Amino acid sequence: MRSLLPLSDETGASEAFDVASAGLRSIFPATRDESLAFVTNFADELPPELSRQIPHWAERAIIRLEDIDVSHGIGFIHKALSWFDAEPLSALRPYLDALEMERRWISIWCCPNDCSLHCETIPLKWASKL
Amino acid sequence: MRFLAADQAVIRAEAARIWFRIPRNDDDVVIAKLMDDAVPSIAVALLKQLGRHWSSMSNLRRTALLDLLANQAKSPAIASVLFVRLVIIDRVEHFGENPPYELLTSLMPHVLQSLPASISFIDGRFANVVEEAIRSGCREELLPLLRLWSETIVKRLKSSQLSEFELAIVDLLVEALSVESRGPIIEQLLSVNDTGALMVFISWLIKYWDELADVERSAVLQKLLEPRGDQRWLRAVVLTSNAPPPTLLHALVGRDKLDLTTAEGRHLLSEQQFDAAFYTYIGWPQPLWWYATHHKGTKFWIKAVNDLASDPANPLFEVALAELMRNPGADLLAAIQTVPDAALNRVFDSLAAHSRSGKLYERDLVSSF
Repeated sequence: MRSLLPLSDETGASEAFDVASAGLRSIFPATRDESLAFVTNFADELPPELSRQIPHWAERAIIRLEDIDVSHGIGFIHKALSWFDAEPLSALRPYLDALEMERRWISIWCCPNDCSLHCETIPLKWASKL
Repeated sequence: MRFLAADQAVIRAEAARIWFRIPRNDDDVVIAKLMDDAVPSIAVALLKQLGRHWSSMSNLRRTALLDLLANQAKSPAIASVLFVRLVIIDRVEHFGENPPYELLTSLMPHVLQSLPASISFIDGRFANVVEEAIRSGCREELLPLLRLWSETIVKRLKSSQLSEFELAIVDLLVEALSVESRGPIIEQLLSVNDTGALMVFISWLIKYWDELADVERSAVLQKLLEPRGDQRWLRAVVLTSNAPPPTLLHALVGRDKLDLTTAEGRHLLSEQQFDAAFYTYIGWPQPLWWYATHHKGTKFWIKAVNDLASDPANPLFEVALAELMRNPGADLLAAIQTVPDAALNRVFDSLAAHSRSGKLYERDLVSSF
């Protein structure tokens, strides 16, 4: 997957790492887990500026059960570890609703493993058409 | 087992936390499953459980869980989350009154092996927790940790400048380890090429001079006699130390003590050596302060600062004056009163420059004349 994505202008590394980096801010716990697993699996390939972030990313992936809320059958982090970059719940509601309606193609489009990777970044205008 | 297979690490971690809360045996399947489940939530949950229930666990159980965490620590992400928690193992609020330092001595070597370079020791917690472990009675069991710390220092010095806290290993080596155990580590530390690091190591070795073995003392002396470009900076640490070992002093300047006037000292030492020692004593410019080898309270250098601050003919005049301005008082007043009238404009310029940096109000000083 890494080699299929173009290199990021900012970091010079595969854009896959940009996607994973964004995934580490996800409100979906499994997304954070998968993103961290990805960046640590390929830690040797990370440019120094991304490699320096590993401790920070690792702390982001530590979530307590009390921080998880469930809405429409989907668990998400209601106490974002970093409040300033968390997505507001209202912005997520359409995706949660869509998921509940079993419009599974969203998650398939997002990630072939159905791990909801990066679902929250789908533009709202797309979600409103669901 | 179903919870341990959940997609979300947070659920697996909670399951692991509950599982290990109760003393169990014959759960090799669970341990094997978690062995490869290296995610931060689980590692932290396991560390906490080990810390809380250490005293009630069997040795077999302790070893099994320590092996589990050591295996997980191969991941840099796990190493980093374990590191920031292990360095506060001495905190009552985290690990209770009698923390199990075995966690530190067993796990930290594995953690240091894969610790990302961006994790810094600069806040002093790492050195502090090792010191606390020694205070609680740990000795030779710290050997793997101290060896890895030394290797980490050597590795990091290749790409960055380390601070006092990151280099504060020598006193712990002397306190914790036998001469045989610490010998190769001290040899490794003295073989680095970084001037600042060597200054810190030599400074600590001098402090513990009486406790060093002859072979260690000899290694320090050889280092000081090595024909190096930074030789004057290494020797400066000896010349400015609280109690320079007479053997070293004699080898360097032919005297057992620095019971000299400033003029005699300047005559005895080369100009370069005198200046290097002077700058080392005042800890300026950086990184000399950074290494905490400054202001060791030696009479000779205290007097030298006062003398040079009243001698406008000396190139170190302004520097010495600025040093006294750090703590303006009787010494500064006395120095200024001795300065000839022709050089008072330089004093004023120094005072004005210093006050602009917010460290001194010359008005208060002038009013005290």
